[in-house]
Amino acid sequence: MSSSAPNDAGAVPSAGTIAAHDGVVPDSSSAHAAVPEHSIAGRLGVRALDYAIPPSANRLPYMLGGLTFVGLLALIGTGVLLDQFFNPEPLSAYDSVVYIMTRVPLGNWVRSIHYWAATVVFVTLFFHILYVFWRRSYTRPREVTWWLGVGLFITVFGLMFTGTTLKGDQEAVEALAHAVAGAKMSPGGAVLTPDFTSSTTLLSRLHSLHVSVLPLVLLALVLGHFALIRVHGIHSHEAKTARFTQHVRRLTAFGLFLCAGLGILAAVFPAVLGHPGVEGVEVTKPAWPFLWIYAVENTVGMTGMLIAPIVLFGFLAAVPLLDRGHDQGAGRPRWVMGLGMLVLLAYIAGIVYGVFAPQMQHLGM
Amino acid sequence: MSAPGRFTQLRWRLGVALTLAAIGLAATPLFAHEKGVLTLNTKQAAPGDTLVARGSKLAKGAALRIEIRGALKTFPFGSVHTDAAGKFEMRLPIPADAKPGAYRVVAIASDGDVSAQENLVLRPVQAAAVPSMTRMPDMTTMHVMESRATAAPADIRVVTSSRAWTVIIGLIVFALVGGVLLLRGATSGSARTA
Repeated sequence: MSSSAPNDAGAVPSAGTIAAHDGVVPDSSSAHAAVPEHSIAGRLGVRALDYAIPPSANRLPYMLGGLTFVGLLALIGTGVLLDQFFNPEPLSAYDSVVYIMTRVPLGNWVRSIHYWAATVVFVTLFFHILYVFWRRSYTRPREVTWWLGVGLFITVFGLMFTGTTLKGDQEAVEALAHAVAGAKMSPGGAVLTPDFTSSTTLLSRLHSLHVSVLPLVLLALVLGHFALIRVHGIHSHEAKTARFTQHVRRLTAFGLFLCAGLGILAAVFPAVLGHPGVEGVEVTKPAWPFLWIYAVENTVGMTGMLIAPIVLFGFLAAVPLLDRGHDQGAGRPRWVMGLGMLVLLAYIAGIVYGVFAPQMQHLGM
Repeated sequence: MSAPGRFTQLRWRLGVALTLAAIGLAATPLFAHEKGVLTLNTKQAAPGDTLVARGSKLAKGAALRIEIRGALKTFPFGSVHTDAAGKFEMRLPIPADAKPGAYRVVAIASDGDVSAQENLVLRPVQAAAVPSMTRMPDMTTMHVMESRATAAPADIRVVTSSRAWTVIIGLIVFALVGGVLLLRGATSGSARTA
């Protein structure tokens, strides 16, 4: 691995300077010649993707973000299909999910892919954040890239939560009750209560959040994240001897493997649906990505559902402010690393505790 | 502009025009029917109630099948003939075992197309017994409710046809083969670059 000379502290390199240092010419004229202007690839601007990147970008840990994006595409595709048959009216939501499972051709498989894709997106995003933290890729000049990523993480949580409330089973009804309770405790949360308007139901508005508002937010964050990665370059000190088109090709290949894996998981372990929800009781636990919140709720009551996310997302947002070094400057303060490890351990411990903890009533605590 | 350039532009325009025409033709059948009007004496009822459906602006002297369609079950109510003015009236006793939910009352012509339709919401018979989601029920109610609420998955029988399995396996194999081919191409591309 070759190392490059460090930039001047404080200087924010542009795409050109990043590509140019390490002695690599940013655009290959031979590659341009290979894509004629009048071809379809030329018209689609494929040449713009043929820029230099470090070869480490083609290693799997660097592809976690890209694989998350592939998972999001799978979620959007299956979500659009599911939404053609889903009825967000409270009395019909459950039946329409059963309809999707039993009557729609491949409906159960598509729904299961949606479920597994959400899980995979969560896992790849989690490990992507962990790897970026570990490599200290959030430091100057990539703070905003990191914050957009944290925004993506929060949005994915929001999408998973709103998705859970839609299916109309016992878990969904309890999640909805928690959403209302949480909204009532939050300033400005009235929009997520049934009393906000009588013209439509809360479930219908959560459906709207799930299929339009949050995906739009997600799209904006993803575009911003990608644009900043293009501007600041991939965080690596290797010489830029690989091409981004190769990276896209490898990522598409791994993305196809991911889709095949999702297809197999959905066929072998289809997503389950609980019994129709009964309001006012709590007999289920949330899906495992939310168990850390459940663990805090078990300890401090309903306020835990606000405290836990504030602590985790607050820490993630604060990371570039706590460690204000340059990406090629001095090492990270040990206490930031220690704090990160502490948050990670608490997060994992919360999930493990949530798995084994007895089911508890939180509403009204 | 050169002759080849004009030809390419013409080809693009022709392609776009043909695509739009195909979309237009495909969409036409979706809007071809449903000219009549169907009204109900109420749009919200409960299982066991009797609805009165009235049709108008329909074909004169036509035979129509009346159905209440839900997501999981359809309730047929037999046939009705429209009068000389294209109208009909029919009483629809909703079965007591119908599940609450969103339904659609439809009048179906002899060729199977929907001539008129109206939405219907079936409310639970004892709606008042269901507690508000934002309020905790008293302990007595909770005891009754808990006996119904369960975290166990529902036993929903999903039948996957052999054709569906073929499609599923085909798509998985397609993704795997596509991935391998792309990876090979990317590897040979890297080797060339190196």
